Amino acid sequence: MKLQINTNLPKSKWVSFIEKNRYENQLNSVNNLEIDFSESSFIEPFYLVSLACMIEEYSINGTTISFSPFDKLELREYLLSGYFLSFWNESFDRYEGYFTASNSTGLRLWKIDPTKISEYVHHAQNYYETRYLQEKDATPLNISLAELFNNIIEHSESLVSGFVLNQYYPQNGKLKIALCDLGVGIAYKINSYLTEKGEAVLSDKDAIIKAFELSFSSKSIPQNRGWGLDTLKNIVLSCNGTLRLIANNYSLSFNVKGKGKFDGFPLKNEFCGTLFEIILDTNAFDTRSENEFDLDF
Amino acid sequence: MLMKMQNIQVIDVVQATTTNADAMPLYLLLKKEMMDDTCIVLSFKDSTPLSSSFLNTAIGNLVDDVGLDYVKAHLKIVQCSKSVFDTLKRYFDNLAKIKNS
Repeated sequence: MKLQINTNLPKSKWVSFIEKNRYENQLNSVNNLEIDFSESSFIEPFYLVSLACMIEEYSINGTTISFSPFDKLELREYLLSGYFLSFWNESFDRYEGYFTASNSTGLRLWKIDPTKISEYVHHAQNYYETRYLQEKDATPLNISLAELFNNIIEHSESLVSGFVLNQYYPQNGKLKIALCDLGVGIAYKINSYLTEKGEAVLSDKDAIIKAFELSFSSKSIPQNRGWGLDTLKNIVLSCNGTLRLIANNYSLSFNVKGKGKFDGFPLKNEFCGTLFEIILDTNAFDTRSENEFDLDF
Repeated sequence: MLMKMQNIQVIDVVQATTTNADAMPLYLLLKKEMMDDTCIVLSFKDSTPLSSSFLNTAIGNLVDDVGLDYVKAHLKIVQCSKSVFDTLKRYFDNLAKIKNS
């Protein structure tokens, strides 16, 4: 099966493309999946992580993965530097290091491993502080990643654990995080919980908004208290950032210009999973300092 | 009668501060000391950033066990970086908000 990738598609149509071409939606078994980038000129992290999830589903089910030759040099270099083109080679070590060789502004494509997330968030923070942020404290990156990882691991029920990509843009100081899973989707999770409790089901929009409410939790594990997404929202807004989230039948977003007010639109086709794109402004990060503080109650 | 005091440095007890599992050794130690009516001086010197999952287990569970007022009466938090201070302050402020709602 050959799949033509067109990353010029708007994001809402892109997720429909991903959903339509998922392994489980094919009528016949697929021995080989050939990915063709010849119609794409550039690819953002948002597109890459969701594409990676889709490809991984095939790979897990025994499909071999290959990539058609293409002559878009810049795109090819970007995909090579993030190890995307070698990720599904049998001999490829997925967890050797976290950093790219030539495209040092981005961390390589990373398949989420629950046993390594503490290590990853620490490396990501340290990497950007050391190379690009000089005196800035990249705690917002660390915590954003931690909250996103914990959210996926505890709630998503995704067989493909999920993929993450981080990309820094030196010209404007923006740091982009894209993360995707192909689990049940946040709206579905919330509504399943509400149904179990005998409460009325919400629209996908309202269910996703509910997930950001402080103290509301679907209690996937006993320790859940419903603070993770509220923490994430607080970080995004305090870092002059934006957040886009696509799950089930809705695309939700908010940013600091809108003062955190939820915006969004319904999708024409459902996306079974959750896809985050977060942009943090590193110019808004605190300066690192040796000062110490005591918390008085 | 003066309360017993115990100094604990977070980085001596936990290996990371990202997940619920990371926090468990700290929670168990804090619980043991608090149940013994010990006042804990908890130092966050050189600590990595604290996720909400970590705090839910380390502090949230403790509050469930003995109550927020008891925890505050038995805990002194010291030597935080600004980011850790901000995270902890927000966490405790939210705990108080939920308690009062």
